[in-house]
Amino acid sequence: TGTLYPALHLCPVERSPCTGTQRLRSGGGHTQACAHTLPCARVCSRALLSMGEDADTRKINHSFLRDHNYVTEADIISTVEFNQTGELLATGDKGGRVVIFQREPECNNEPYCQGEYNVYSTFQSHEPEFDYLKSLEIEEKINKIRWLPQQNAAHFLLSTNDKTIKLWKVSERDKRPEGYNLKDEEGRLKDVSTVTSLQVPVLKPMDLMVEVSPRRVFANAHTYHVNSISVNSDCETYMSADDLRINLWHLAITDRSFNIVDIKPANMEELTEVITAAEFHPHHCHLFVYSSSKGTLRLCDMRAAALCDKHAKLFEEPEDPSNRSFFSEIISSISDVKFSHSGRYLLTRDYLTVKVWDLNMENKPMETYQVHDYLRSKLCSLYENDCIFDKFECAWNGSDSVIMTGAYNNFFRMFDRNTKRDVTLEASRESSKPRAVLKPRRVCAGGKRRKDDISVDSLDFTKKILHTAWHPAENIIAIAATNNLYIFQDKVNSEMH
Amino acid sequence: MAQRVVTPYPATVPPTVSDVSDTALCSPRRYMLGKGAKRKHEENEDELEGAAPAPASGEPADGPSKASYTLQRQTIFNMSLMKLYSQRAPADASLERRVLINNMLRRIQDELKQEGALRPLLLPASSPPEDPLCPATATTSPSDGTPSAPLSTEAQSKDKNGSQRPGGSASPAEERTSAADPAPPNGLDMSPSAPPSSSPSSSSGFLTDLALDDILFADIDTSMYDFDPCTSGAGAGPPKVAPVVTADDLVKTLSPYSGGSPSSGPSQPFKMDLAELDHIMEVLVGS
Repeated sequence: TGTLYPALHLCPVERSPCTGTQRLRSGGGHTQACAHTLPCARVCSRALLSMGEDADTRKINHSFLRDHNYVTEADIISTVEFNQTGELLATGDKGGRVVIFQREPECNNEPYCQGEYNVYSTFQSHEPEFDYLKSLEIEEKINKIRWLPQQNAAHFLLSTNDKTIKLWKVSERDKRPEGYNLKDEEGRLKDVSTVTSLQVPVLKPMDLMVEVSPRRVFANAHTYHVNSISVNSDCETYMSADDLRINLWHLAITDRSFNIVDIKPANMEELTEVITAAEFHPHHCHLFVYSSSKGTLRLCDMRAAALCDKHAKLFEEPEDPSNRSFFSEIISSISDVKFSHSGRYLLTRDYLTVKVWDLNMENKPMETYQVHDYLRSKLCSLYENDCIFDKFECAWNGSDSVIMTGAYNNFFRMFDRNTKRDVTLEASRESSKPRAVLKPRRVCAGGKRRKDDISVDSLDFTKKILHTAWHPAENIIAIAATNNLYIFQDKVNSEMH
Repeated sequence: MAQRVVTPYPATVPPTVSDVSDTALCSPRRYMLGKGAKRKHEENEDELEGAAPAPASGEPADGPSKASYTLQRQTIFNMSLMKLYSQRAPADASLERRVLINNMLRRIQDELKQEGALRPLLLPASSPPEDPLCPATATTSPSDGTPSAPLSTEAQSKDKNGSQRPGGSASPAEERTSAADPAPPNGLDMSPSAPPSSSPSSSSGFLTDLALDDILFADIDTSMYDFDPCTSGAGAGPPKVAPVVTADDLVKTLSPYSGGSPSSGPSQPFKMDLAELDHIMEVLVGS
C-alpha cells in the first residue's frame, strides 16, 4: 500500500530555519553566525498520497514560500541524511553548515499536521581552511553526514568536509540549576563575605534548548578528498574514504586511524582508478564495500587481513559492446553505493542507470534501471560542460522494494522493484503550490510528444538533484534541489501510524 | 553522398555550455548536414561505411564514417586536453575527474598508436577502407585499461610499436622538450615527490611512455588551447577561431608519430600516419 506512485498531494509549508536558532545555543563557538546567514529558501513540503475529497478540508497553516530567487553558493545543500529512527533529518551545505530538522509529534485533532519536519538546530560544522604546507584551500563544504545509532538521550552525528571529520553531540536541555552558593544568577562569583547561609541548588524548568557541541575532531588522515563516511554496525568504529584510501577509526580515538584500503600506485602517473564511495555492511561489522571510477564494486572482509588489498568479491558487469563509446568508462563510474536494509543487496548509481546487485552474484547486476537513457546521445555535450562528472546519489526505501535517485531539471526517479513501474517526479517550487498534485513527469526523447511532456532539449542541466534520502521506515523522502529541501510524505503510509 | 560534406571542426562543436541539447558531436548525421569545406581526401568512403563503430552516439548500424569518427576522436582529445590544462579549471579539482579525463586521453592516444603501427602493416595505405581493428580499438576494456581482447592478436605489431619507445625518447622532439620544460606538468601527480616514470614496459600505463607523453602532454603550448571551440565556434559559417590553431601546430604537436624512430622499426608507417593526421588537421581547421 505504501508506494509513492499515484498522484501526490503537495502541502508545501515554509519552515524558516531561523526559528531554530532561537533555541540554539552555542556549540563550538561557531553557531551564532547561523542566525542570519541561513538560507531562507529551504522548503519543507509534504506530499500526501492519493487524491481524496478530504483534500479540501486540509488546513494550510502557513503562508507560501518566501520569494528567494538568488542562490548563494554557500546555500547549496550538499548532503541529506535521516537518522536511524527517522525522527531527525540533517542537511549539510557548501557553506559548512548543518541544519537538523525534527519531526513534530502527531497531534490528534489535526491529522494533517502530524509528522512535519521543523528546524531543530543549526550549527556551523566546518570553516574554510588553508593548508599552508600544500598551499591548498580546504573548502568548508559538508560532503557527508552520518548519524550514530542513538544510545542515550543525546544524538550524535559525524560530518565531514574534504579532509576533516567531526563528531557532534546534539542534546536537549529544558532545566537549569539555580541557587548556587558561590555564584549568582549570571554565574559571577559572589563575595564570600556576603554568603551567610547555605542553600541546596535546584533544577528549574526553562525553555527547551538544543545544544550542539563538538566532541571529536578526526583530522590529518586524508591526503585526498573524503567522499564517504560510514558508521559500523558495531557502533564503535567508522570508516572514511577518500579518492585513494579508506581509513578505519574508533569513534573515541582521534589521533590514529587504520588504513584498510590503499589503491594509490607508487607512481601517480599509473593512476587510472579512484575510490568513489564506500559503506559498511548494515549487520556484519567486518564487511564493507567500495566502488570505483571504473564501475567496479569490491566487497572486503576485514577478518581476512588488516589491509584489505584483496577483495572478497568483485562485482562488475561486462561492457555492452553495442553501447561502447568514448565515454563508456566515465558513465560507468559509480557515484554512490548503498547496502539494502536487509544487507543482501547493493544499490549503485552510475551516470545513466541505477543497478541492484545481489551479494551472491558478482558477474552482473540483478536489476538495471535506466534513469535518463535519453542522455546517451548527448554524452559529448555533457562531457564538454562537465555534467558527465555529476555525482548522483541513490536510496532504498525502508522495505528495500523501491529505489530512488535524482536526475536533471529537478526531476527525481523512483523504481518499484516488484511491479517494475517507474515514475519521474519533479521537486520544484512552481509545482509546490498548496494542495498541488505532484504529477508524474515525462521526458520525451524524440518520437511523438504528448501534452505536458518535457523535451530533452529543454531540460535544465543546472537544476540537478544529487542528494536524496528516504526515511528508514516510512514513505517520507527528502530531496535536495540546489538550495531547497523538499520533504514529500506518503499519506497512506502516514495514516497507518 | 552527403557524407562528403564535413563541417569544419569548431562549427561542429556545441556552441555553448548551456546548449547541452546540441548533439552535433554525437550524432553523425549532423556532420552530413553541416556546411563546410568539401573533403579532398581520396579515401574510398563507400567502403568505409559501417566499418567503424558508432563510437559516441550509441547509434548502431549506420554509424559515422571513419572520417567523422577520427574527427570526433580528435575533438574529444582536444576537449580533454583543455579540460586538464585549462586555466579556468580549479587547481584543486576532483581527482576522479582528472583521472577519467586522463584515461580518455590515454585511450585515444593508444588508439592512435595502434592505428599508426597497424594500418600500414595490414592494409595498403591507398585503400584502408575495411579496418577490422576499428571496432576493437574504439575503446579499451574498462576494467584494466589494456586494449580489449581482439587486439591481442596483434601482439606482434604491438611489439614493434613498443620497440619505438627507446628510439622515440631520443628523438629531437624529445630533446627539445626536455630543454624547454625540464619538469613537465603531470595532470595527475599531486605529490611532487613522486618518482618519474620508471616502467615503460607496463602494459597498462602507456602514459609512462615518455617519448609520447612528454610531447603530447608537456610540449604542447597549452595557450593554443585557451580558445574554446565549444563556446566560441557557435553557429554555422566559417570558423572564427580556426586560425588560432594551424595545422602545422597540431601536426607538430603530434610529431612523435612521424619522427619518432630513426633507430628502430619501419619508419614508413609513421609517414603514412602523418599523412593521415595531416588530413585530419586539414579537416579540423577547415582548410
